[in-house]
Amino acid sequence: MAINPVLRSASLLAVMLLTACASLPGDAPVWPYPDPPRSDPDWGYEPQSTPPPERAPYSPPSRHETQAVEPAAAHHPSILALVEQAEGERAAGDLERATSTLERAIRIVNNDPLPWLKLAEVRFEQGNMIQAENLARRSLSFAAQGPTARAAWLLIADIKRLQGDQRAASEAQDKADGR
Amino acid sequence: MQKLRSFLFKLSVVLLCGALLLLAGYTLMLDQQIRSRFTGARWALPAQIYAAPLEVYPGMAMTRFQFLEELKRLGYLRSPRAELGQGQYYQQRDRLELQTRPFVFPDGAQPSARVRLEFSGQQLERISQLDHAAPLALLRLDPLLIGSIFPQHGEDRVLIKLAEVPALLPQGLIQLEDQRFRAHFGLDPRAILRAMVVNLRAGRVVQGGSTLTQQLVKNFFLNNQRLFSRKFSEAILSLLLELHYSKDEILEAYLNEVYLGQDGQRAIHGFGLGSEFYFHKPLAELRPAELATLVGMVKGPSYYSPRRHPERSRERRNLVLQEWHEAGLLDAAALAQAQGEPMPSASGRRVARRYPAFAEQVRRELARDYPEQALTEEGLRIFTSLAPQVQAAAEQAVQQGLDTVEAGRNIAGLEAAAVVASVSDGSIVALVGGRDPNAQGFNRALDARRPLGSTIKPVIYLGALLRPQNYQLTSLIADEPIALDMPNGSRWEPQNYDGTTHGKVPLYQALARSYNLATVNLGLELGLSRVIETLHQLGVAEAVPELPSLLLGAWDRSPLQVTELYAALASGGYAQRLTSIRAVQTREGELLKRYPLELAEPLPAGPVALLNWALQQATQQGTGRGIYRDLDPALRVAGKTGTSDDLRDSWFAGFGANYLGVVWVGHDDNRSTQLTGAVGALPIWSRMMRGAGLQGLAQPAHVPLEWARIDLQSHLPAPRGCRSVLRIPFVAGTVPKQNAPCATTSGWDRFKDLWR
Repeated sequence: MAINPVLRSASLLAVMLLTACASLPGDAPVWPYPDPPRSDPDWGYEPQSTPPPERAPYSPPSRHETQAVEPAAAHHPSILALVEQAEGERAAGDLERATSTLERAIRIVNNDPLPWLKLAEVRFEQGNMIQAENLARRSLSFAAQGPTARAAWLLIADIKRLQGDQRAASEAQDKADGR
Repeated sequence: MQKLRSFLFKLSVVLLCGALLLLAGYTLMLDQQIRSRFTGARWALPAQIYAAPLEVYPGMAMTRFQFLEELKRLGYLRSPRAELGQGQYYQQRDRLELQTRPFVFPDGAQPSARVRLEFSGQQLERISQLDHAAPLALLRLDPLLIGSIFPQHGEDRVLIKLAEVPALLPQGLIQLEDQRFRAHFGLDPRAILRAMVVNLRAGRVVQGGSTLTQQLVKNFFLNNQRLFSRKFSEAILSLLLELHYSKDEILEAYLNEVYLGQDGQRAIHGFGLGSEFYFHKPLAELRPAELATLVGMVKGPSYYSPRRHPERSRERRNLVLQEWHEAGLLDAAALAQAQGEPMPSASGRRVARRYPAFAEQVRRELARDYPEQALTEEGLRIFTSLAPQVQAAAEQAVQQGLDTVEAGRNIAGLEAAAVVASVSDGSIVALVGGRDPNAQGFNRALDARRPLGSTIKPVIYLGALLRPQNYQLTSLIADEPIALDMPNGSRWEPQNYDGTTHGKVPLYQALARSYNLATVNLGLELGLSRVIETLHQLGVAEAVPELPSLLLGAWDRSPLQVTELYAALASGGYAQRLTSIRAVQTREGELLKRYPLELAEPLPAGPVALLNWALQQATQQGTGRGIYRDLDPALRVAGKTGTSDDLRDSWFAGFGANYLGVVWVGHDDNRSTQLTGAVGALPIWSRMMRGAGLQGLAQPAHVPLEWARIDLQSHLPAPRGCRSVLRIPFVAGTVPKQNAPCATTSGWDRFKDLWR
């Protein structure tokens, strides 16, 4: 079986970040924020990237859908293709194009949390914490549990930590841990 | 004598020199003008507006007919054989093969693709590439060009490059209009002589000796003819053009400049726009018959218009084709085929659609970022969110709905407006400004500000639900008479629509059945300032009048503004400014600006989810029930009717998972319509949303809700027992402690109670 592309790009990013960290002087901030909270040990960490979504057999979205489903279990192939493309663009440093691609995915299927989460991650990477949090919360409105929801809570926890709001951060962390 | 002669000689030399100087000066002036016209802003190019591209994927709910409809809109041609060209498709029952057009999207260039689509019933089943038989997860078609922003009485054009036009066009044009174009120096003395002879023989002007260069000059200065009408300056200008520019440059300018007819206020310039306007497809895809029609029009754009005079235009076309054949540009088979083709308008093709109401919204949004001149001259490419198929559904619903209601109730002159927005990104996908969607005038969706009546009620109930410790969906409200003394000395005594009162009613029923008295009592209990605060939380930026009549919707809003208000509810609490623009490119296809998706800080998810549940009850048991005459009863839809005082305005606002829509019906002069929201606006809304492909609401996933069985008599929880119960959501931890009298308890519960 081929390596999951999302997993592949996630690990690629992690490796890139590790090398970047290694080559930086110890106290240089990694993220472009004006006032780094230096007391925060988590400063400069890459937000936990999304775990690979499970590829459950896809069933076409019904126009009569009335029940809350957990779409994280079944992403539409077209969404996966666009998310994969966006991950490539993101890895190449073209965040604007990745944004474009993810917005395209959001418009195609309106109830999949994955592109929302990915867009939140891109905004985070750009240093736009407000949008990142709002987008992560929007992604949560489509998936209660599952890997995407967990990643969204982890991202929110990271944002809250950066903002110095430890209480909100640990609340989000608890949600991510299913507590 | 000698002296006089020498004086006359000197005088004539001086005069001649003076004349020459004047001529030189005049020539220099013309030179200046022609060069600045040709090179400077070579063409004032209006901004081009594109609709959202259609994206299709396997599993999508789309029939073959819907897809073919879209191809027709884009001007794709059905090919009789399986050999495809760009912009053509081949159909075999449920299987469709097509070759898309290449297009430069804001996120990059997309090459032409050859694909096969397989449909089965209501669904697009499979997409694959024709050449490698590889499956495709997603296919994006080229977007529909829906209009352009040109100044009043302006020129409009689609810029083309000589290298990109079908070879037959320049060849055929030269053959017909100016055979010695490649050889002459701007003027063609032989052609002028020949024309003179012909005209003398006929005794009138039947033939002109103008070269293409002279025609271009004429077209350049079409608007200030008085200044340049003299043949003399035209000749000088032509010589100057030939001096400065190559034949190809002049030819390309000609192809872009030539006047090809009028569309209302809009002048059609150039073959690029001519092709879009008369044939609804890019120039590169025109066939010989179509090219001949356009080239034939050069001689007299309105006289030979295929729209106005199809028969005359056909004769002219066939003459042109014949001449091309004799010149060796067409072989006999091509000639026979081309001459047999029907004319565009005669075959019943629809006239070019230009979506003036939506384009107006685009123009207003652009005006925030770009000066007027940039929009009408720089040829920007504007990418918008318009979904042509939803727009078509909305226009049709408005027209049919008004016709039906007028016929049934013997009224006339009703008007309507409609807006459909996408729930996910708050973009406008359809906008109808009035009954006649092609009218340029009053855009009711943007500019008709009318009292919104009961459509405001969800705001008041949300204001209450945002205090979950004080208000739940089952909280009882008094639907009882109330009278208020107003500051101006008058007395305000609101009434229910049916004139009755209902006593204590639970909150969700008061909303679902749109009880006025209960709403006013609730609003006053909450306080007007809290209601207004809720409006601001939903994204209303401007000041709101702090009057009790606000509670019943005595507040003027445009349909677009009402849509914006509901967008915050539909998205689960994210206030959004509705937009129509996604990106702007330069005329060369470089990205200039993106308008990214931005979310405001959300309202608490729980209360919004409760409100949306109550709005679903409004369509299940309340005033919005009528929507299921058109919609699938299995769809869960949230919706609210609205009616203003004296039945002047009829509203319906509602949403599913993908789309949010608002419809207004009323009279332009504000007369009473005699229609409630449920009678006037609702049927239009439901037909519009059915056509748009509305998806039902799902329960919001990550909202900490607690569901409880509620007894419909006492409106209290009944964990067991009771005859008629309804499962109602609560914000977690706010289910009332007291159980319904009819509730029975299990043995285990009684056992637990012993130890309390």
